[in-house]
Amino acid sequence: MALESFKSSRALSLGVELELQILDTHDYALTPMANDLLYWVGRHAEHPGNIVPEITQGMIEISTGIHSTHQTLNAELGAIRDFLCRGGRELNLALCGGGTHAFQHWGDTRIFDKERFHYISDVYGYLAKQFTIFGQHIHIGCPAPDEALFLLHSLSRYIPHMIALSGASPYVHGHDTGFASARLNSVFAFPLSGRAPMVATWAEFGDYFEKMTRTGVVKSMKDFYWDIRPKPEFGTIEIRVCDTPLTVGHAADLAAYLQALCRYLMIERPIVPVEDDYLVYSFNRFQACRFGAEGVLVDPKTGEHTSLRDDILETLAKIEQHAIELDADAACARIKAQVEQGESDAGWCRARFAEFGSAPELMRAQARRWREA
Amino acid sequence: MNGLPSLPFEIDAFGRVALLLIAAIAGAEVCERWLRLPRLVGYVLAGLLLGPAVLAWVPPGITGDLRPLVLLGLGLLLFELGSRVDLRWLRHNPMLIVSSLVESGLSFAATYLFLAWFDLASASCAAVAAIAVATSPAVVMRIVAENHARGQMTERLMLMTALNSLYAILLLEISVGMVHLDRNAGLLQAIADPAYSAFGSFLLAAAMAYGMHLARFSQLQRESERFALVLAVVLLGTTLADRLGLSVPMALLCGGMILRTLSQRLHLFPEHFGAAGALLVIILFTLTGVALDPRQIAAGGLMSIGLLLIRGLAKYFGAYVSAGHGGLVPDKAVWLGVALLPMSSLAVLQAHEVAGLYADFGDEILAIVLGAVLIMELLGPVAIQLALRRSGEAMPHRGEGEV
Repeated sequence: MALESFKSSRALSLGVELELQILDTHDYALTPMANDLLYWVGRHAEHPGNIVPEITQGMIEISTGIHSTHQTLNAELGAIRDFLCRGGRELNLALCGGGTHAFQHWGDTRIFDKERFHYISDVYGYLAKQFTIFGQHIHIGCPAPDEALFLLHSLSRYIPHMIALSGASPYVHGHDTGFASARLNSVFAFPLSGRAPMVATWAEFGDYFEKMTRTGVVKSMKDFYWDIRPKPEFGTIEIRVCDTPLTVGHAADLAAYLQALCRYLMIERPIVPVEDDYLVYSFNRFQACRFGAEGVLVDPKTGEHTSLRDDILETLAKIEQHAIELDADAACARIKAQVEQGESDAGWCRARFAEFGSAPELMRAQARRWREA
Repeated sequence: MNGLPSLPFEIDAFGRVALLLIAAIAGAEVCERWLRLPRLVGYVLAGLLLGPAVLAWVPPGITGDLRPLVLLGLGLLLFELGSRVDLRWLRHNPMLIVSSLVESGLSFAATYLFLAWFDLASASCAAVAAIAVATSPAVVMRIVAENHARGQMTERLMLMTALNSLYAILLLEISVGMVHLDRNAGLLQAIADPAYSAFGSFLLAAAMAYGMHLARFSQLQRESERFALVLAVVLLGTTLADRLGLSVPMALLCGGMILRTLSQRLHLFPEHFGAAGALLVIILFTLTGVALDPRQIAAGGLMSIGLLLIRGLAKYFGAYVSAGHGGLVPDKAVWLGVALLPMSSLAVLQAHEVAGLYADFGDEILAIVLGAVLIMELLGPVAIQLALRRSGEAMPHRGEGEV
């Protein structure tokens, strides 16, 4: 199968997908009510956003339309959240953010009854069920495919930023993993996870894709679980490393930060992507997953070690003018304050766990935060 | 050699209870592995087999001797069911109340008309119809737990079971009031008795729930102690309701519901009250089997079967009301009607209570109710399990990698 052509879209336009947890209001375990909730959604023809199933029954995915600023994005996310929370009240279930469910065991999940999900389950076995994790995907519009590939590779240096700023999955199977984002460990287990190949043009990318399909390993772009992936049918690149934040507001702020960063990269072109950028990619990514903003970032060119926190703050200063142009400065200011004060969603989870003393109580607090924030 | 016992020796009551338990477990294994039936059916069948009706292996007084344990097991399940019902849900989804009222109202009306057609006294008709409204809380809780069921139908099954059990208790009180009227008692007594029972049970329930809440139940760190506390509250509630002439099941159900309204932290209840709770549940169902008498089917006869059919249809249509607009997937609504079928073993207690009031009034009722209950003890669990599995909400082999 040949690679489809890259549809042009407005530069720096934004779209967000969030995978959400569906919780039982009695014990706050994941509850397999995705089809019940989707049925309820289906009975309300006029609803905001797009709401679709995900791989297991305890999850649901929401996605927004195309936005040029994070303000309207935030408004749409808020409307979807309020709509789904109403459904939750009518069906006696709760929704929440966060990258993992704090105490769910993978064996207790059920695959959503859809051909593609059964296919994934057949191919990947328990990895598919362990894939009951919840991420935020941010789409950035690109006018042309080569632009998209440039942006994709330039952004690789900043992937640790996005992981550290969104990390919201410290607990797995009831235990503190020590990670800010334990969710990504489940993604790395997939054989086709990681990074896209270092090619600069859509023609070269097409060659790579054709070689891969000829091996029979992949059938479509969907089979790549890369951290950043081009999405030719949307004309976007899709950043897939973020955990679903605990609030829609933070999800919109992350999108705003990324949008300003992309504007900086596209206009100032401070980076010429080369293969060697990826020498320390996995190391940096691990540091961000494990320690969040406290992690170390290694510069592939100079070999210099800095703290992720300092690098994020430095970047925020560099992109300030772009943020103002995009009306994203307030969002960037919130992110800056958060980083300076050492706050994060993962830290919030740990504090609630310590306060209430149990994983179900943490999930209940997450559900309340999602609903009320 | 007088230190050694002489053989064969008589097996005492302890030994027989032990055998009963072993038979119950064996029965459960046979049912699950070979017959693909709920384990619960195995407990009941083992009781029926060893009971006076068939092999007469258990001591005749066993149901009386172990009655406190049976009541405790039933009490725990009622309290747990109550604690699973969040009344706020009714406020957010009023269709649930409509569906519950239609389901219960239809069951009552259909059963009443069916019996009235056979020229039974109207008070008797009302009493049987009231008993027919309830779905068995014990069977529902147990089969849901056995199947690790979760989902919208399961949630609604528990909610509607709790509600129709409450309606049934109230309706039965009222029909007993009608008996008083029939027998020329004063109107005051006919109204005052049910009202005393209903309000009294509710107040007792509120006292239990507030007591637990104020005692900061959820702050207890040890699960075993939380269980002991729940046990103590259930015992206290049972005994107080009994002494004050109130409705034990109503006090426990309402107690659980009020506690749930006061606290969102009831996930701290040990799931189905752990091993000790499970033991009580096994005893409850095995002794239910012991008390069954197949001859009752003959006595209740076609009336019992007809009653079950009519009641089944009513429940089925009532449950379907919540399909669509009420937010329940129509495929699941169909199975909800099936899952509501099990008749309450509470009905046995209730029937005996009513029978105790007036000897002749009770006999007609007892025969019909006990016949229907006997059939439903065996078919009811199968119906729920089928409904949970067909609606896709059961997870029978949890953790074994099924899809």
